[in-house]
Amino acid sequence: MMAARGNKTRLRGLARRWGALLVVFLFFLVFVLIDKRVKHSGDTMGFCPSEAACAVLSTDFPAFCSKLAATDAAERFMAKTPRPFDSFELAVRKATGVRPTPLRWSIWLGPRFVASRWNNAYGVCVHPGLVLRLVHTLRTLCGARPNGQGLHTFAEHYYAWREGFLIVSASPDYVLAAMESPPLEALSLDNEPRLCVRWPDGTIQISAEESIPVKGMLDVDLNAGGTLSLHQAWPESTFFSVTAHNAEDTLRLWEIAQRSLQKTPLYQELVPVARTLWKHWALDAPPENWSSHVAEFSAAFMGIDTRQTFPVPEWAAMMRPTSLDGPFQHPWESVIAPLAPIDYAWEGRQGVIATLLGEKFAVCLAKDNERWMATSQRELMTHLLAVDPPRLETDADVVLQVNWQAMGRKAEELLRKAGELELIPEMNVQGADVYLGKYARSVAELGRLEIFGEATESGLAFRGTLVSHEDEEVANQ
Amino acid sequence: MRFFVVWILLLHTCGSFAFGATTRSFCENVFGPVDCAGTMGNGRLTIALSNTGRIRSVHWPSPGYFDQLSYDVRHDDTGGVYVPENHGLRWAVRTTETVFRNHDDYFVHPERDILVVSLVPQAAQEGSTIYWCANFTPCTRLIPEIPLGDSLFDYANDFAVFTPDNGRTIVHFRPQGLRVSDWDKARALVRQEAALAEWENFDEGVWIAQGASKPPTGFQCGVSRDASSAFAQAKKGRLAGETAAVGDCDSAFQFSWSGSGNAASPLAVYIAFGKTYSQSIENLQYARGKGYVALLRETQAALKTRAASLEAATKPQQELLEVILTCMDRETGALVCMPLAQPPMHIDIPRKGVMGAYALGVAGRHNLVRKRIDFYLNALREEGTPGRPAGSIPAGLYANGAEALPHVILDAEAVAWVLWLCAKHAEQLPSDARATFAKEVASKIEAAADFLETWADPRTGLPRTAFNPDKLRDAPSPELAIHTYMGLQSALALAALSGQERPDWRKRAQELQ
Repeated sequence: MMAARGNKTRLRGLARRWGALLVVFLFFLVFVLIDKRVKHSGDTMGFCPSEAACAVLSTDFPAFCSKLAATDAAERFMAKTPRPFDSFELAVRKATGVRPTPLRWSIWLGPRFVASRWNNAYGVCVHPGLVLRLVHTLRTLCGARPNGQGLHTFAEHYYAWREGFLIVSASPDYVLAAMESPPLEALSLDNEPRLCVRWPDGTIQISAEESIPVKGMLDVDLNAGGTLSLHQAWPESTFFSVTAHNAEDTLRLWEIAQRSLQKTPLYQELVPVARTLWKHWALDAPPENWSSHVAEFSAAFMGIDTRQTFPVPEWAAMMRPTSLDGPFQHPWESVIAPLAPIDYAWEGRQGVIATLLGEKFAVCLAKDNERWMATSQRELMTHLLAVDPPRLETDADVVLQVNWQAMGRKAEELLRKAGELELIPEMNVQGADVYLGKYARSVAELGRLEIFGEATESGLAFRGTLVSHEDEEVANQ
Repeated sequence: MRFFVVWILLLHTCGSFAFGATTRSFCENVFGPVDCAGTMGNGRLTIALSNTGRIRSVHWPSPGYFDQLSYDVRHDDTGGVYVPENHGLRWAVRTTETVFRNHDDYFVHPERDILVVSLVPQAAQEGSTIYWCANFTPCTRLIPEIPLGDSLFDYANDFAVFTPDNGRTIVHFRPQGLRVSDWDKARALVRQEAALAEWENFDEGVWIAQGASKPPTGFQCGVSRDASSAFAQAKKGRLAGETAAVGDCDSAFQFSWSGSGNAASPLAVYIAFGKTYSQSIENLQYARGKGYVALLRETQAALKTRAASLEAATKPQQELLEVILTCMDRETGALVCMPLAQPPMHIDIPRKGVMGAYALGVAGRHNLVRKRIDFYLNALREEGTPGRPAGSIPAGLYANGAEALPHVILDAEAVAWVLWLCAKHAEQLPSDARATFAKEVASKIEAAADFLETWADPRTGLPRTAFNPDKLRDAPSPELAIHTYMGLQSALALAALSGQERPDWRKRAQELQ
C-alpha cells in the first residue's frame, strides 16, 4: 500500500517535472504524423497547364536532390562550383527568409513536385504539409486577401490552392491555367526517388544514382533492327555524335530537337539566316535514294575552331554503305559539284576538297574500304582517318554520345573570349571567368553522356547514362 | 535645314560600295530593311537619318565606329516595320496628352564633335510642355570579325547616365574596359546620390553630354523598360528628376514652351561627344557659349569652304564627293559603305571602297587617296594562317584597320583592286612623285602580287576559288580571273616605276591572258 502510494507520488512528481515536455513531444509527434499524412494524401501528382511545353515531376523531389548531391558526379561538379544554385537560393531566401535545402523543402513544401513551362511562363505545384498551410492561414487572418481572380500574391508571385496542392508562378495566367487543367496522373515509379521529364514528344526518367542513369520513350518512328558501330569511330575529342541506321532517322531526331528549340530567340534568329544562306548557296541535291545505299549514318559536331575571333564550327559525318561492291562513289560528291572541288589524298586515300567559306568551312569527302566520310576541314579528315574503323557492333538503333569534358573546356574558352569582347552584360573577362567559367569547368568534370535507343512499335525506347562514373573517367584518361 | 545631308544619292552610290545586290538582300533579310535616307558628319561624329527624317544612328569617334544609339527597326505582325517607342532620340509636346514627334532639324559641327538639334514645335501653344528624350547606348569596343556590336550585341552596351548640375546637363557614358567592380561602384554612386567628382573619376571611353539653349524645367535619368524610364515618364507627363541611373539608360529634359521660338532661334539641344567627361563638357560649353545661330554660321562657312575645295565639274560629282567625305574617317581614311548600325554597312569593303579613293583622285585630292591606299596596304596580311594567306586583305575593315568580317570570307579580288588603285594613283601623280610612291609601297605591293600569283589552281590554270558575293560562298568566277590579271598588270606597272621587272608575275599574267 505504502509502496503503491510511493509509486503514485513518484509518477505525479515525474508528470509534474516532465509533463510539459511530454505534452510538447506528444503534440509534436501528432503534428508530424498529421503533417506526413497531409503531405502524402491524394493520388494525383499535382497540376500544371494542360498545354505545358514541358513538365518535370517527382514523387519525392527533396529525396531525389539529396541523393543526387551524394553521387560522385555531383561531387565532381560541385568541386568547381560549390554552390551551383546560389543566386536561386539567395532569391528564395530574400523572398521567404528560408534558404532552400532538401530538408527544408521537405518540411515546407512536401515531397511531391511538378514544375512546367507554359507560354514562356514557369510555375511550380507542390503538396505542402501543415507548416505552410498554417502560415497561409495566419496570412489570411492578418488580412491577406485573394485578388479578383482568386489568386494570392507573395514576393511578386501568384499562388492558389487546389485540392490541397499549392500552385505558384510569377505569371497569374499560368496559375489560372493550372487551376483549370485536369490533374496529372500519379507516376508509376518504384520506391527510388526519380525525376520524370515529360514533353509532347516523350518522357525521360532520371535516377539519382552514380552515372545518373536515364530511361525513356520518344515518340518517333525509326528504322529498327541491326547493329551500329560507327559511334565508336569518332576521335575522343568529339563534342557530340548521333548514330542511326540512315540519315533520315537522324533527321527525324533533329526535327524533334528542333521542335523544343523553335520558340527560343536564338533559334528564331539563326534559322532564317541559315535558310537564306542555304538558298543562296544553291548546292545540288544528292542522288535520288542515296540513303537507301547507307546501312549506317553517323553525324558529329567535332568542335569549334577558335584560333581567330570568329568561331568556326567543325562537323563531320560517316556512312557505312549497304554493300561494299559496286562503284562506291561518295553519295555527296554531286552535292558539292557546284563548288568546283579539287582532288586531294589523305595518306593515300583519295578524296576531294571544296571550300564553301575558305579552308576552315569546306566540304572534304573521302572514303576508305568500309566508310564514306565528310568533314568541314582538311585536318579533321586526317584525324578521322587516323581512328581505326570500329569492329565492335552495338545492339541499338540509335546511339547518342556527348563529351562533357570537351564541351565544358571549349565553353570555358568561349566564355573568356565573350568576356574579353564585352558580349556578356556587366562582365569583363575576369567576371566571365569567375561567375560563369566555373559552370563550364564543372561540366567538364562530368565525363560523357551515352544513350542507346531501340526502335519499337510505340516509339524509340532509350536508356543510358548522363555522365561517366569517376572510375570510367580515370580509365579514359 | 539639313546640312551634309545627301539624300537618296547615298543609297545609290554608297549602296554599291557594299559587296553587291545579293549580299545586300541577304543582310536585309537577316537584319531588317536599310532605313537610311541620308547622312551628315565631320569625319568623326557622323549621323544617319531614317526615311522619316529621324536620327537613326550616331557614330563616334568615326563613321566606321559603332552606333552610340539604341535604334532597332523591327518587323510587326502585319509585315510592316516599326521602331520601338523608347528607342533613339525623340522629342514630344504635351498639350492634353504627350505626343511624340519625329521631325526636327539638325547639323553636325564641322570641327568639334557636336550634334545640334533644333526643335520648332509649330503647333505648340504658349505654355505647352516640350520633352527631349534620348536613349544613347555608348559602345566602347569594336568586335573583330563580327560587325554586330551595335545591333545583335547592343544589349551589352551602355553603362550610366547622370546629371552634374541638377538637370541642366545630362551625361551618358561608358568607360573602356569595364570591370564588374565598376558596375558595383556605379550602382553605389546612384544609391548615395554621389557628387560629380565621383562620376568624373571613371576612365576614358565614350562620354556624351547633352544640354539645351534654355534651362530645362525638369529632367530624368532612368533605366529603359523600367518605371524610372525617361521615355515612359515623358509619356505620362511627369519627370521624376532622378539624378543618375546605371544599366540600359535613357534620359529626358522638360522645357516650358514660351511660344517665342522660330526657325531662326529655335529651342536647341546640343549633344557633345568626348573621350572623357571634361572633353565632352568642353564641347558642350563651346556650343552653349556660341549659341545656335553662331554654330549654324560656322557650319555653313565650313561647308562652303569644303565645297569650293572639291573642284567638282558638275553638281552630281560634287554631291558624290560630299558623300565620300562624309563617310570617310578623318584620321585613318577608312571609307564606310554607310554609317549605319546594320552589317555590313559601317565598315570599309576594300573591293568596292577603292572606287571612292579613285573618285578622290579624279577630284585631285591625292593626299586623301594616299591615306586610303596606306589604310589598305597596312591591312594586308603579313603572315599566312589557315584561311588567311599572306598578302591577302580582309574582306571588310573597321575604321581602325581591324578585320571587320569573318576571316572565313577570303576576298581575293579585293587584293587585285587595291593593286589597281595603287597603279591608278601613281598615274594621277605628277611624274616626279611616281617613282617615290612606287618605292614607298614596293614591299606591300610585292606581298599582294605574290598572293595573286600563287593563288592558282594547277589543274585549270585559273585562280583558286574565293568568296563570290553573288553566291555568298566560295565559287569560281570569270571576274576573279580578269581581276587577278588586272591586279598583276598593275603590280608590274608599279614595279616598272621603281625600275624592277618581275618575270614570275608577268608569266602568271600571261597565263591568265
